[in-house]
Amino acid sequence: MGYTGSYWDRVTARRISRRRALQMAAITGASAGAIAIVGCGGGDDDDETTGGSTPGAGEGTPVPGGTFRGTVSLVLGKDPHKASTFLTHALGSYSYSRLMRYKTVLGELSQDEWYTTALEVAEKVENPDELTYIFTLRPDVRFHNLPPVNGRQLVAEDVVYSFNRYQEISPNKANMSMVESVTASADGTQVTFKLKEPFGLFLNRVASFQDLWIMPREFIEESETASEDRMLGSGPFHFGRFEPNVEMTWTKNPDYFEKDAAGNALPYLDGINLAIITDTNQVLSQFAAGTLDSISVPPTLLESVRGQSPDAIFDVAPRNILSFLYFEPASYTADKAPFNDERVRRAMSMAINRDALLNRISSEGGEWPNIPINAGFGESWWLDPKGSDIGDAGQYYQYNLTEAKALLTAALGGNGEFSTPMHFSSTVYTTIVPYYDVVRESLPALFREAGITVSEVPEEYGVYITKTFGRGEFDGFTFGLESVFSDIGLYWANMFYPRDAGGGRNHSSVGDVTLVDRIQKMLQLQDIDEIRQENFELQRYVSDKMYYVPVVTPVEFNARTPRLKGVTNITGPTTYALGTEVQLTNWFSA
Amino acid sequence: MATALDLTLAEPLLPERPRGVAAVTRFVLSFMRRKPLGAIGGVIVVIMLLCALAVDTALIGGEAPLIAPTHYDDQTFGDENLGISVSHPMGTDNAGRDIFSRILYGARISIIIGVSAVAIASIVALVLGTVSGYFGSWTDTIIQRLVDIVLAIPPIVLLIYGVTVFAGRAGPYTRMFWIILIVGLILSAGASRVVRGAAIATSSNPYVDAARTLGATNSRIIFVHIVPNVIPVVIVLATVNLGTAILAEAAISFLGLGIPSPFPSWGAMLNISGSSQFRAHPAQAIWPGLAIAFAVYGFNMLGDGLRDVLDPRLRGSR
Amino acid sequence: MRQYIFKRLALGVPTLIGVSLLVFFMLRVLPGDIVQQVAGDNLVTDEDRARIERDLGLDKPAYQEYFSWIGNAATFDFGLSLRDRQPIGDRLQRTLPTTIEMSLLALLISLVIAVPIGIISAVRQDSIADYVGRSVSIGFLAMPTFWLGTMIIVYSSEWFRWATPLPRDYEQIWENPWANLKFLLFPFGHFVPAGPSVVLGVSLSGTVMRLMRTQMLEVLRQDYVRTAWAKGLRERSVVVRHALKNALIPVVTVVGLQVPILVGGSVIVESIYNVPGIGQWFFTAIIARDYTAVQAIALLTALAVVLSNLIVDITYAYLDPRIRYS
Repeated sequence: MGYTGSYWDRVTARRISRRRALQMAAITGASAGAIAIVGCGGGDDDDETTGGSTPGAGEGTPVPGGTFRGTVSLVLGKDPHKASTFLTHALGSYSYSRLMRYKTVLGELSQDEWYTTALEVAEKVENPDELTYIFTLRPDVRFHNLPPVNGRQLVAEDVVYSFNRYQEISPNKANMSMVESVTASADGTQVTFKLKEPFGLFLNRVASFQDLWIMPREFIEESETASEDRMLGSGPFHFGRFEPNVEMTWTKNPDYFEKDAAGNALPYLDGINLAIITDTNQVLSQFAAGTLDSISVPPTLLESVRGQSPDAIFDVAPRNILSFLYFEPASYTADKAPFNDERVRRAMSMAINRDALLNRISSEGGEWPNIPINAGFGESWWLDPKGSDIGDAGQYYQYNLTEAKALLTAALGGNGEFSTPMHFSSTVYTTIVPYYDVVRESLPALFREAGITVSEVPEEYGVYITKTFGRGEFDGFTFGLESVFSDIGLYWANMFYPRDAGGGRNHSSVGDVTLVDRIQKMLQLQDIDEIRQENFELQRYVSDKMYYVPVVTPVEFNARTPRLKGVTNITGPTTYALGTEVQLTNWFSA
Repeated sequence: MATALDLTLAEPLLPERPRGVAAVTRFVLSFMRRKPLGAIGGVIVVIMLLCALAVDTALIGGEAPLIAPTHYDDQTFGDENLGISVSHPMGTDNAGRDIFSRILYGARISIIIGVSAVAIASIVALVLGTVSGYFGSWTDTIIQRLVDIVLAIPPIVLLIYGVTVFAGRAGPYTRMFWIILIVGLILSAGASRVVRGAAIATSSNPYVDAARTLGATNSRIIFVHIVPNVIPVVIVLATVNLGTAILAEAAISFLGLGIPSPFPSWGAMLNISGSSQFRAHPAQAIWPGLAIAFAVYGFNMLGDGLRDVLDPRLRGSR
Repeated sequence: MRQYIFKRLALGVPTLIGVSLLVFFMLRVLPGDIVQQVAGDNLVTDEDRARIERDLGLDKPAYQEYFSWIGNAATFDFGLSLRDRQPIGDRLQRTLPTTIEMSLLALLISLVIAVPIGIISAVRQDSIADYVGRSVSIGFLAMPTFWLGTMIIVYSSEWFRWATPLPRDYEQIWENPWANLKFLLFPFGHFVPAGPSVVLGVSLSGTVMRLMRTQMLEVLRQDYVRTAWAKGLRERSVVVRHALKNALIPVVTVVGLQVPILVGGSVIVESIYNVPGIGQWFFTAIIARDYTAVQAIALLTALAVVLSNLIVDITYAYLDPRIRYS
């Protein structure tokens, strides 16, 4: 691809030089990556390989055993069909399986492959025509050897049952609205998905951690609350126990169907033990005291954590949270001034000094990923807003007060000054995203410079998520966060489709018919390269229109004990599938 | 039922005293001599009041900082998390703002919230307590049962609840209004109990009976005999409650439900979500915490001193 | 006496009913609801809303819901948490004793600090000892608990890399008394008293000290104490035998009235120290709009307050013969 990575190159280069400067021992072949479950944590790319050694090599032979001690800030349910939150999906991945998943390897994965799928329960996929996908199931996949399923084989009928249940109750069901029917073959070895319309990224959608989890019927029907009391699937770990505000645990599934390259049973770990800790301070203290194996580090505290835990390995990660400004829906639906004018929106973007903001929130400073889609898709899908490929629209991401003021004057007349409310969530976000508060305090100061007077409207999280974020009932603009999209198509559809037609996160009710049409056409394309090119085109287009104004997202750092090995690369689409994409190959050295 | 501040005044207080500036001066001087701790509290309170009044030129209609070096939201990019220096006596915070200025401005927020909430609490407590204590019977029963309900729910719980319900998406000023009102009403419940005790004690005095026999109306008895005797109790309560109100505002702001930054509420400066920031820059947590502690200490000490002086039973030493 | 207890109990009933009404209907007017939170980031259609409400049992009129809730609550059946669909009763059984014990320990600590200071500062009113003692204990009161707790966690980590035990290490006192007390009092080991109970107790001690001092001053002016002085008894004997006993009665009883303060304090302290009690639960539940959990916690707290008031009144009546059961 011609879009090789300026951004990730920069991150990697800087990090290596930092490491040399700090004279830290090079850890040969150790791959980066750590559990990213704290808050909305991101994932990792890997860059600690030195001198082209084979990723994962040099760590020695995996030793089975040991319990991973991690932390989670919030548990909001255990049924991945019922929940829409990534937290539930992340935890569900320990116990449930999908037909497919996203590709991960030990060590480094080329960015070209960050957004590619791999097989899980399916051993073969056929695509005889653009509307038909036939998945052949592995014969050796068994549900956990626990009542009521007692280790019976996972068959095609289970996939059909799970799909129907998902279609009935999942808040995400619009993600699969292109599916016409799902049928099982008579012998139970094959599942056929018939689509209503072509969907070129269908396998990526199937691999998404938000949707098609396979859950056995006997378990669901055991009792009304069975799926909320515990987890029972075919994943790598048996559900152990859950006590609210205390912990959630899993033990190894001894009959798990996947093996490593040498034919050894996976997972290596005997168990997973996640302490439920809401206070970041506590998390940091626990890691320093050695009671946790891996944590996510607030970007401003990198040096502090390094100082406290000199042995720890720090992995850089693309944080998948999008942070952005969204405007009052009437701006688009009723042509309400001032945000109906793209010049005003561009001016808002140009008034944001992203470099200064990043320096403020991260000691590693100076990059702005996640504009407009998240950088975790890799540079073969994500356009670097600082690079040349973004084209003319790139200027709107550059801090330029003079131009911002000129745009405002042109758009609004007079001296171009105006005042507007700014909504934001004053609780929860600030806890799980450590830089949210500083950024939202800095924004009014930045806008003031451009002649925009902002009056702040803090909202308690429950109010925010229901009214402002959920229903778009607000005036002025909002500074908000968007959790991860595991799939390019999900990003485009959610953010720009009409709200009742798959645009669940079209907070501003952007009603660009041309854009919607282009997205639909793009998603129907069959050739991945064509989709890729159109995806770039759309990124240039929305950067020009500035329907949403992206702010900044610092890279994330995870710290882990050097004993934790077998860490995979993590990318945007894989971040939250902890059980399968992240921790399946973890092990502890002595 | 007795409470921590139960001051039943058995006899009319402050009968004939010299009036005017001379009397006030004399009282202050004697207070300082007899109650040095109370005087220290008084000095802290006066300093706080001065900060609140003179931190900027708002009193004369301006917006410019006066005794504060900078405006509370004067951010400088690149100056984040600076240590202590001559230009920043307490350093700068994570948004490049002068912490010293924010602490000074914070005094204003604490004073506004404290004084307004306590004013509400005092008035409500005075009315409820006097009416309840003087009339007794079913009036008393109804009022006391209502007070029971408020007292049965932990204050912070009521506060979290009330702010979320009424100010869940309010701007800073509306939010401030609701915090004041809710804190005021919560404080008034406890205070009204104390006032009621004092009112009962006063109305059982022979001269009240005498006034009633002479045909004085209820309102006359209340305003002439009861209220003046209850006022000192209210004053002492108010001083101590000011400290409590400041702590309450700090707590709710700490939880992210109070006055949001950029407004420099001391509690918000310690916000629970930002608290991990203090690992890298501990001093940033020290200053707002000390400011709260000093303010609350000042009001409590002043209140204790006043009580020692105003409460006849505690007057003088053994 | 029995009649008196019965009468006081009866007085608690309207309070509890009032609290239940207040809590129930205030929750219903809370802006933002659980439906959107269950649906997360997704748009909630009317159809989704109806389904989720039916799922959660929120599709009946509010008054019907109230009566069925209060009816069940009377038998201590609080139903399922709306958020994690687990029985609230089970969780209360684990969390309530924790918070109660933490609070009782805090009370004890506050008494240990406050009583001596209160006595000394009353007996030696306006002496240096009085000033120092009061400054210390009012100083404790003036420091916000959330600040003190945060500072302790931060500095013990920065300086010594100490961390409190994880919540999974919490064991009830009847399971493992030593581990339990360590969690609440010396969470960092090393006998450094810096646990959640200590922080709460220290902050409460100012209030208790102030009351102790006031009562002591008052008692010292009573006729029988003056008589004791006049008889030429030694100070120690006067203070301990005559004054202290009588001053302690109202102190001990009033200390019982600190229950709401303690429960309130537990909301913040439990979050900071990661104590699996009802305070931390309450705060997360109100953010999540977990109506059933919030209702249950608020009602039980009110019940605890009403009961402790009752106990206080009875103790008071029992200890002080001057009080009639009227």
